[in-house]
Amino acid sequence: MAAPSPEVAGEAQPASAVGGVRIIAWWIAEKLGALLILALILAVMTVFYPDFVTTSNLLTIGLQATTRAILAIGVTLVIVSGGIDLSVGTVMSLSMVGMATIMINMGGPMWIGIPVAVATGAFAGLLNGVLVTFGGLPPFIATLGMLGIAQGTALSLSKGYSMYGFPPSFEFIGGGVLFGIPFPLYILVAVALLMGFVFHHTRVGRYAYAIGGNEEGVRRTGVNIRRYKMSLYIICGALSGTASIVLASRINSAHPGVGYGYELDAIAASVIGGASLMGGRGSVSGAIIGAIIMATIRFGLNVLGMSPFLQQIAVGAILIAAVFLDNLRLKHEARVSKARFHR
Amino acid sequence: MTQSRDPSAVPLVEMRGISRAFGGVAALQNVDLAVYRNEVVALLGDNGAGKSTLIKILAGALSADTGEILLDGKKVSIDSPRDAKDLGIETVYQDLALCDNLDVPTNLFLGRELMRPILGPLLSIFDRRRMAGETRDLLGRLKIELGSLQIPVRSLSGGQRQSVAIAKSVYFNAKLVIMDEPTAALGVRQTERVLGLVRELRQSGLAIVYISHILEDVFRVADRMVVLKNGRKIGERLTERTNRDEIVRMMITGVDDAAEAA
Repeated sequence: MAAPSPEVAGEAQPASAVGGVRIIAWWIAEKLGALLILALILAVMTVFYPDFVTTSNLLTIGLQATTRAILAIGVTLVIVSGGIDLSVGTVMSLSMVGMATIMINMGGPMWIGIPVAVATGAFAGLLNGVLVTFGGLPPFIATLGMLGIAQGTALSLSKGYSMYGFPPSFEFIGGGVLFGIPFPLYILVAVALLMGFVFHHTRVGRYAYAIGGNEEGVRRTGVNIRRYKMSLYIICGALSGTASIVLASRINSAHPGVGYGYELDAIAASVIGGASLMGGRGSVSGAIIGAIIMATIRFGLNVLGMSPFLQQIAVGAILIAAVFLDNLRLKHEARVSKARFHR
Repeated sequence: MTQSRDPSAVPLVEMRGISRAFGGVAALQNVDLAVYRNEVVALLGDNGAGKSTLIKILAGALSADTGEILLDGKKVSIDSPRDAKDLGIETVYQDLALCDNLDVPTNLFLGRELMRPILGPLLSIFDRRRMAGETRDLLGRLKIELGSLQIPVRSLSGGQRQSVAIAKSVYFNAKLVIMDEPTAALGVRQTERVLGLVRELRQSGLAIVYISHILEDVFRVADRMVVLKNGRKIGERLTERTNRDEIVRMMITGVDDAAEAA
């Protein structure tokens, strides 16, 4: 991204070079943790099923991870700012039903249906943002309310029925294969690159980290906190809408209840990937690795024949364990930081 | 007696007849405060004396009920922290307005990032290289030594963090910097660093309003001291013409011996 600048590149900067190495070391340690978990899960599954790790299985996991990863990236952006979005799952349902209403009930074309899905999600995100910033509600409550509102709206719009009859061309998004790779994975890569850019190179992304680190401090520097917080929830909602397109196309139908529960996976993926619910930390790559872990666990439990009911218990337990470990890490860091302060 | 300065010199900032009440309680009554360039003015007084209220009014975080503020002899209105910043009045808060999870350049430029256009005027991204360079220059000028800039502020010492907070406040054409208890949480060596930095800033032409309970620090860094009690200005002294006992007496009794004698 950065164009090489000869005058700076030529400078001797031993101090920052050491810092760079340290940052990379940290980054690897953080990512490695999640990757190790993934390797462990695959190893355990291989013990039970020697041919678990096959291209076909991995592609299936990748496909299942796509929806979760897109949701997890959005929710990570909100979590980084110290907020939370519990409505990503049901907003995905609502977006899906909205899109199906246009494309199936009204016979509208894909180029209207797809933007409608994204816009529906973005609008729900906007409402979340308004409730949090102008309403002064805790994000947990605002988005919990939205979870119910989106679910109810999706059920009302669809009258509770599944909706079938997307045009054949729509199927390619979720079911197509390009150069031997399922098309949804291209979408995931595109979303990841775009959001990586947002996280690292735009004010919205950087201020999410800053707000998550010290909201009052950021306010004092004169940054319009409300504006940026609103943007975070809107982007998160728009990504829920994007995920709904991929999922609807993959199952070639719209279900008003399909998204409920995805928030659990998305938040777990985000935290497993290194995001901290206290804010200030999290990444796109972490969210994706976390989503792959969640999808692998789901897939593995299916292969092992665990009932979907018990799977819910497992996912809930994983979320709790991940947050528990994050808390331990934060406590440790607070101690180290305090010791450094008085150095 | 306390005015040894050239009487024709215009203060950089002058607050005149500032009053402010909260409900029925008068937090400030008719307080004057003048600060000149190349000067450190310490604001002293017990808790509840009105120091915080006075600097919050100057920083735009509170408004005064009556009174006026002059910048270079011209009346200005400061209705928000933004206004104060635009006029070159910056505040370093006691509890460090830094983001622990971000690195030094990001903190320094927070809210005022240097951008670099890509795709022409359509899209700009952060100019990290330039921000890092400017940060190194600034820290070098202020003789602040940090080692690596790319690590989170969390891993700096308290003195280093306070130095970064101060550097952040002066970077954007500040004329006057308000420091609220800048050494309160620091050890001896780190306090030394911060006091050195304050002198450095005064040397460079800034005016500084310095609030502290630590009289020892105040006597080492301030040119002039202003004592408040119960919302009133008790008196002021040039550091070189007063001593600890006199200042403490003023703070506790609320009586200016010199004024009584006059």
